[in-house]
Amino acid sequence: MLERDIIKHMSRQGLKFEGNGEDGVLRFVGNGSTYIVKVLDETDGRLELISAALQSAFWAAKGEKAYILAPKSMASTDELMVIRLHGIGLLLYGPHGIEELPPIIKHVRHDERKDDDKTPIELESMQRVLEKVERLERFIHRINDVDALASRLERLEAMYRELSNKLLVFEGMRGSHAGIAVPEMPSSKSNDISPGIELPSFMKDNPWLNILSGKG
Amino acid sequence: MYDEDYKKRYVFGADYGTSEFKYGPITQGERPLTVESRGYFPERSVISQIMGVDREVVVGKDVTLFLESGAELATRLVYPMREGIIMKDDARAWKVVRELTRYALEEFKPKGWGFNGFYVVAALSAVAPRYMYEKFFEIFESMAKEAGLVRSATIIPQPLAVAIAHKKTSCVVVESGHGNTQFAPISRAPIRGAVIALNRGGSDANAIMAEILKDAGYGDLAAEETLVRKVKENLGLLPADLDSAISFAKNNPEAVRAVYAVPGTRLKIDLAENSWARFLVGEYVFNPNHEIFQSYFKRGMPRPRDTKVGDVVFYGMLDMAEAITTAVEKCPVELQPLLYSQILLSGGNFSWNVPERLKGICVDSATKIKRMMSGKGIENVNVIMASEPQYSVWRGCIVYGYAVPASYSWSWEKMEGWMNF
Repeated sequence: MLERDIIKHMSRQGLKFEGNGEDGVLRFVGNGSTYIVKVLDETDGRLELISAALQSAFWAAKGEKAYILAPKSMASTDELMVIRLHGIGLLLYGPHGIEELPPIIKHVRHDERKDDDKTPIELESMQRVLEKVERLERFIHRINDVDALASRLERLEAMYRELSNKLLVFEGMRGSHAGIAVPEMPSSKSNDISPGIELPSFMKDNPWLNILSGKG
Repeated sequence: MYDEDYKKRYVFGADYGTSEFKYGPITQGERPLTVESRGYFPERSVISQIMGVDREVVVGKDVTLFLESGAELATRLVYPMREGIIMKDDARAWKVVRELTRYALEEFKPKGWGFNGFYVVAALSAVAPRYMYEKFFEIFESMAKEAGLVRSATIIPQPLAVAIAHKKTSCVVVESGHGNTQFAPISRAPIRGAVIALNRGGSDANAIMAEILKDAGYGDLAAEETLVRKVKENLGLLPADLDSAISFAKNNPEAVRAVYAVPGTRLKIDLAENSWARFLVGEYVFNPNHEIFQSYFKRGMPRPRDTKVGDVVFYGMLDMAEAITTAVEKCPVELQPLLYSQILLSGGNFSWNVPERLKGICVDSATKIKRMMSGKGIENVNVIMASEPQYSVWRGCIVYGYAVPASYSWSWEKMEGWMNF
């Protein structure tokens, strides 16, 4: 079903279906180029996406038009942007059919590249990257503020821990000074003691509570 | 009151079993979480870093993601415990245990104010040597210092935890697992010098089941451990008296015949004229000394041998009633009747089916022990099966952690109390 949809989509662009290649790969020809579509389905995960991206980048570097067909829900916008930046087109499918996202930087063979051969698409993508960098800089400033707050919090927690430990030692000393065990747990422990958190059923009426609370 | 309220939130139980690690805080309720007691040491590669794996060892549910890597699986997948014991110098095993501990504590580490580390109660095998205690305390100390995950920790023997969970203050806990069986008398505390261990457990019942399958013409299936275990669980029987049961089976072959259809396959296992051997499976766990087992030993089935792990002797051929009496007779005479009156059986190795038409010929584990004790002249024996035995140890840990006062410091002499960090 998916294969039929993609063949229909590509043929609308004047491309002829050449057949299935290795596992999950469809080949098309037209406009003087070979188009290779790597198909991922709902059962594939992030690892398969990384693998498809690496494989497609290899094809794109060889001068072929590489595409990845994937479910819309598979990757985040940023991940899709990164894949497109490497000369790979995306065909995203969902309930409303196939949506095509062309590569942002088109792969051109070295012998064809010229210094002044910057396409408008490349300029547009660089502009987007620049915006992202600026946004990242703003985030880093905010992270510095959060770091400062976090270290203050850590210091306060350390102080709190230290005070609690001192309290424990103090209670222990008070108990031994009096010559009796510190009654940390009141004798009513065998039943539900204080409101709020309910204790599990295996603790209720458990004779071990009294035995163990008398330790020390 | 401060400690009580704190403990109501932050007591944490950790049951370090040979095959499964069960863990969770008191707020988990009635049942802990469970992961397999194992760790995977992944190959350090670019791909693993892309996948976000920069740890030396992976534990918990993530291990499954690595299990298809084939040839190296056996060397990379580490089960840290053997018979409940971790060898002192087994560095990889200790790394797995450390990672499992970190994994469990971090899963429940609360965010925000008020958390000052868990009160961790770890349960180890009754035969765990002292160096294991020391190593575990080192792990907890590092968790306390590196991540503030532990406030105090203590370690208790698993049979004590079982007794606590079942509200028995004086009893003999018999815990039978895959590879061994432990007999631990308890009287308001574990009686450490009286613990007895058998080198016999569920795996031995599997071994004789495999031999029976071979005799019945299913030799090709006898090597498939999981299948053999399933056949044992479905066809194995525990006889009240082995001789009478075999005699009954020979006179009523159809009454003991059963067919096990392996789910999801076309395979049906029918022991046919060998169906009488179903009784051997249960009997072998409880008493391997019957002369009928000699023929299996002669044909190559390994005889359970006395073995020493660390400083502990695991007896091979001691029958269960003998093991109970040996353990109890190491306790004060005055206490012995009380211990015999509360024998608590725990562990999957005590689950035996009693088919309706074989009632009287087959029995459950509690009845079998009672009969065996009676055969040794010990009456007034009360044997009970632990309910939900897989969770008993964790539950005991939670009760112990909640009840023992925070100010009670760890004593190496008594092997109890809190190690504060």
